[in-house]
Amino acid sequence: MNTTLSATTARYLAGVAAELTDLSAEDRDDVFVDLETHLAELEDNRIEDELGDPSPFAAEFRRSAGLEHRRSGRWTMLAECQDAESYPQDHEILTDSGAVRFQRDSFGRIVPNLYPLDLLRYNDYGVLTEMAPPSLGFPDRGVPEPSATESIAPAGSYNSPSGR
Amino acid sequence: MDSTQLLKGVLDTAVLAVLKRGRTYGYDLLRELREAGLDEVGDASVYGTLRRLFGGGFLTSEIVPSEEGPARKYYALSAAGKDLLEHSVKSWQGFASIMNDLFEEEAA
Repeated sequence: MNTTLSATTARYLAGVAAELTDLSAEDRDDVFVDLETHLAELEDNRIEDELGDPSPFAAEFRRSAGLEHRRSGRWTMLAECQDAESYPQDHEILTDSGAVRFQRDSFGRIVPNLYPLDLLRYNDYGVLTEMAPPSLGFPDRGVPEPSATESIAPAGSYNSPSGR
Repeated sequence: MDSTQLLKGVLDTAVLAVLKRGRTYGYDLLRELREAGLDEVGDASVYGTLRRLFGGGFLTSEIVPSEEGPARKYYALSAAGKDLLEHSVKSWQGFASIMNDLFEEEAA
């Protein structure tokens, strides 16, 4: 059955996804299938009451699953693809790992500067994560995990990673 | 005593024990654990445990479409999972027996 996720559910899934972008698609899918089923059982207003914030949920999942943190880059973003008319420059830092929520306007202008990226979409939410295709020679910088403030530039002012 | 610490040590066995009753999906397994009295068990801990046990070959999984919502991933014990559960139950019973003896000596 093809189901449509509520905005709250999609946002929660995207929040968890933003914390697990270093995992393989298989590992991520493992938790998302279970989590989608779980979220479907909850009223939207109970999701965070019951499961807590996405970030600690993802951290606990990772710990229990024995999955190491393999973050290699700093360009993990959670993009909220909403109508940008009301909030053309708005963005919000979501976690300590560099995730940030953008309105579509910013999202559209930022993406070209961050190619190559992988986009996982959940209805109106998407998680952008850095890809490293060897054919393009995109470097695995292996940078230490930055603080949120270090990794976030104002919306619309991103440069390519190599230009930082 | 902080029961959450105890729970971490036996969550694998508890999950395997629920699955011994028959295959089920994550949310339902979580509900069964809580109904059994493990009400402090964390949602993410259970899903992580399922992922780890599956990755270790102790569980099988099958995604089944649901009329009521998103597809459900049903987990079941593999042969290795049954062996692990049997071994874990013996270990737990031996450990519990030792602790009970200590408690009785304490009370005497």
